[in-house]
Order: sequence, then structure tokens, then C-alpha cells
Amino acid sequence: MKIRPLKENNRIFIDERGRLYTKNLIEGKKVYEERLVKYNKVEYREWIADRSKLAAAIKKNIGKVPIKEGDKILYLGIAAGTTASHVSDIIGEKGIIFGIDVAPRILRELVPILYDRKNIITLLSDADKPESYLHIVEKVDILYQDVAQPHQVRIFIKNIEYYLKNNGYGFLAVKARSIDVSKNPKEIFNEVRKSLEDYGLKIIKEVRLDPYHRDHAMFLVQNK
Amino acid sequence: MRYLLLRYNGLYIFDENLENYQFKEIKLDVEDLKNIYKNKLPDKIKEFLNNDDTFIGQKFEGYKYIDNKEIIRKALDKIKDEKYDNELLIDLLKEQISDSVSKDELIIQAINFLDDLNKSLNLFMERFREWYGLYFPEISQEIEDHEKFIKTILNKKREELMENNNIKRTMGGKIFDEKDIEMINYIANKIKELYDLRKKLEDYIEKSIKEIAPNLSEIATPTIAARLIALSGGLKELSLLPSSTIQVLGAEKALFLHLTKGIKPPKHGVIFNHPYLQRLPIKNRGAMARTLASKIAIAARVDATDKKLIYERLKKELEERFNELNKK
Ligand SMILES: C[S@@+](CC[C@H](N)C(=O)[O-])C[C@H]1O[C@@H](n2cnc3c(N)ncnc32)[C@H](O)[C@@H]1O
Repeated sequence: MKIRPLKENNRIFIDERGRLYTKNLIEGKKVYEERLVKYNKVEYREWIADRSKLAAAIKKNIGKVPIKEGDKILYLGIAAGTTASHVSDIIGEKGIIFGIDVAPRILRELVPILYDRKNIITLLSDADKPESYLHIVEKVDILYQDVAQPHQVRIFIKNIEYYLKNNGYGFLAVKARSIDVSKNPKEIFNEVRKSLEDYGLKIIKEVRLDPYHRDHAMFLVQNK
Repeated sequence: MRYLLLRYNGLYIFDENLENYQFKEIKLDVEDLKNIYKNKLPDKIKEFLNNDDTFIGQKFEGYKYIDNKEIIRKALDKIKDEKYDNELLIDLLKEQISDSVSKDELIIQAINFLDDLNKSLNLFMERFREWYGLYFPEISQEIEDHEKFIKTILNKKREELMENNNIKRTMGGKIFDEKDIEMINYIANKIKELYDLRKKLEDYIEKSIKEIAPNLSEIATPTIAARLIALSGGLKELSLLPSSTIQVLGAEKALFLHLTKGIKPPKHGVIFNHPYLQRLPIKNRGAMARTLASKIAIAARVDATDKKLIYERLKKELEERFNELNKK
């Protein structure tokens, strides 16, 4: 097996079979049921597209993934940290993730990971109230959101207004069902696209996440 | 005038144009940070404040604040390269998680356990009756209720049971020796204990639900009250639902089919088991379900706030509606 960096981002890796990896920041430790593999003396964690919407978006050719070593990231809906742990691998020790989630039950599972990964800080907060974390979060290079809520676009824009640097990037994972179960997903994604554009964000790419995540899409946008 | 931004490690004091600032380092502990979350200003901050200070975006009881995006962005621009105290922030998170565990979560776990227990009991009983049927099928056929069946055969020999139940002849096998019968009895005893456990669990749920939701329990019955709380994720969550949603809670599958495939919408979810609905002719149940759901919504809202006892009035209105529909 050979593992090589992606051309779109040299901190994300791929093998011949198209499986994605990140370099494990905490050697020997898994975060979920991912495989650990050694290649040229470096340990990698497999990044499973069925488990992570960002991995699925990469598999579906979202193109350039503008997350760099040392970046600051605001992550809304961090949950048990599946995706966030890979982002933590990408940004490395010099970067930082501010993770937000409202559900205490799921955060309970994240706590042990926080002891290992010093580049993740997590707050129990409602992402719809960005003012409630003004005492901790700073301006960020990347906003990543996966909250599966009916008013997810409003939450995304509010947080961009507060925290995203000018020209910073935003990832928005949209679950059509959580916006409106009765509507066709395509229609919903079009509406989301339109609200993002109306707000003045530049849409760099939109990809559907099927078959990894049904009726989901990922938007990559750039701030003014 | 000064603008202030309170951070986890101190106070940023900006001038009017947000060009220059001073930073006062203040050591905040977990309690202070919890207060900030609750929009309460920690006491140790107060000594640094003037009367006309305005907080940037942060709403603290009794202090001025400004909610302007440009100002917030400008202030945040000045804050760079902070050194975070991971231990402190993890401690804060743990505290908040621990504070969030509430009585209704206990009830939800108990209800879910009860459901699992019922499923397991049914599974065990199906298997057990098949097994026991080799020994004495007639008694199994005679007693339909699982629990009653177990209690009847418990520690009793076939001969004894035949006599007590007036059964003259059995098709049961003749090969059973001591150890075969002993095994069957041992299992029957364990299953009986599970039925006792179920009773205990039901009593516990009823008692707990009456404590946290006295009005809801009276209006919906304790069992349905507990189910509604479990389905909505908590008392507070339930109290935020419109009564049209409460009416169909527990019938999500039917609702989904209605929305996607245009099948007839469900008229009621778990509230279907309410005695008032059960006693009405089918054609009037939809109307009763609507009234019941609206009373449940009121009861849940009161229980989620001050728990003032208001169920007498609601119960009377419910009863009147029932009588009206029962005559139709
Ligand atoms: C689909 S999960 C996220 C999965 C995660 N991004 C991953 O890939 O590992 C959605 C999460 O959003 C959280 N959430 C929902 N509404 C929220 C809100 N208003 N503020 C913060 N988090 C929220 C939920 O608690 C849940 O954990």
C-alpha cells in the first residue's frame, strides 16, 4: 500500500484504493472505529467518508480544501469529534479548533479526546447565540458547520458575521430533511445556495454527499 | 465612554473608536466562567467598571451592551494569539455537562429500560412457552396472559396443575426427569422476578413523573406523561412543542408517510392510549385528541416553569368535552 498527499491539500492523504487519511496527531490513539496504519514510519488514521461529511465532500471532489497547518477554526456541531479529530490532525499543534455543541450527552463522549488533543477547545453552547462565546472564541480562518437544524443557514451567517476573518472560508453541511421533510432536497439546496449568495458570500463549490450521506450537501464559501 | 469585552482571562477595555485598548488580566475560575454563561458578571470584574461602560455583544444583567456587528468584529480583530488553559476549559465543560443531568433524563432512561424489558419478556415468554409446551401444553393454551401463566405454573408439578385446573389428560411428553423439571422451574422463577422488576420500575416512573410534572401526569396519565417526555427529549422540550405536534408524538412514521407519500395524516400518537380516547367511538376520537393535546400543552408549560397546580380546571374542561363527544 502507498499513501500520498492529495494535490488539493498536502496534509490530507490518499491510498491507491481512494481511502483518505490524516497524520495521527496522537500516535497510537483512535477516536472512533477508524483504522490506524503505518506507512514510511508515519502513523495515519483512516478518514471514513461514511462517518464524516467533510471526508465525503473530499471524495465528491469539493476541490481545494483550504484548511492549513496552524489555522484557527470555529466548528459548530462538534458532537463526538469524529470529523473534528481529523481537522485537528490537519491543523496540527499550532492550530486551534473552537468546538461548539448544545447537546451535553454527546459532549460527554468528546471529553476524553480533549485531554489528548490540546488543539481542541469545546464549549457547551447554542450556535444560534454566537454572543454566548464571545469570551473565548477569536476571529477564525475557517468556519465549519454541521448542526442539522431547520434554521442552519441563519446560524451559519450569524457566526460568519461575528467570527470569520475577511476572505476566510466557510463549510456548511446541509441535511435537507432537517430543513423540511416534505420538500425535494434539490429545491432545499437551491434555496440554501440563494440565501448564501444573497448575503454576499462567494460560493466556491457545492457538492452532494450521496451515497455516503443521503440527502446531504456541502457548501464551500468564501467571506467578503 | 469605554467599550468592554470580557474574556476568559481578563478584561479588554477599548476607547470609543476601538483603536486602542488596555488589557487587565484577571484570573477567572470555573465558577466565574459558569456565571458568564448565565449572563451574570463575576464580582471580581465589577471593581474595574465605570457607570457608562458598554459591553461589546455581551449581555450582563444590569449593564449596557451594544450589539453592532462591525464593533464586535473590530474588537475581536485586536485579540490574537491567546494561550488557552485547556484544563480549565475542560473542567468548565465537565461541570456544565454534570449540571445538565436532570430528573427527566432519569425518567427517560427508566422508560427506555421498561421498553427493553417488555421486549425481552415477550421474547423469553415465547420461547419459554414452546419449551414448557413439551411438558404440559394444555395449561399454556388455557392461560393467555404471560405473567399470569408464569405465576400459575411456578414451582408446581404437572399433576398438581391438572388437578387444580380440572384437566384430565395431557399431550405432554413422558420423558421428563427431575433435572429437566428443575431447569424449567428455575427459569420460571427468574422470569417471575423480571415481572416483579417491571412492576417496580412502573411504580418508580409513576412516582418520579408526578414529582417533576404534576399537572401533566394528572391530565395525560403518568404513563403517557412519561412517554411524551421521552419522545420529546425532556420536559422543557415538550413544553416548547405546539399542541398539533404533541397530538401526533409517537406516530412519527405515519406522519412521515403522510408528508412524503400523501397517506392520511395520523390523528394521534401515544395519547391514543388515554382512557378518554379509548372510551369514545372512533369517529369522535380525532376531536378529543385535539382537545387533549391542547390541555397537555398547557399542563406541560406550567410544569416546565413554576409547577403551580392547575390541573383541576383543565381536568374539568377535558371531562366536559368528553361528555359532549360521548353523546354525539
Ligand atoms: C450531525 S451532528 C454533527 C456530526 C459532526 N460534525 C461530525 O461529523 O463528527 C450535529 C450536531 O449538531 C448539534 N447541534 C444542533 N443544534 C445545535 C445548535 N443550535 N448549536 C450547537 N450545536 C447544535 C447536535 O447536538 C449534534 O451533535
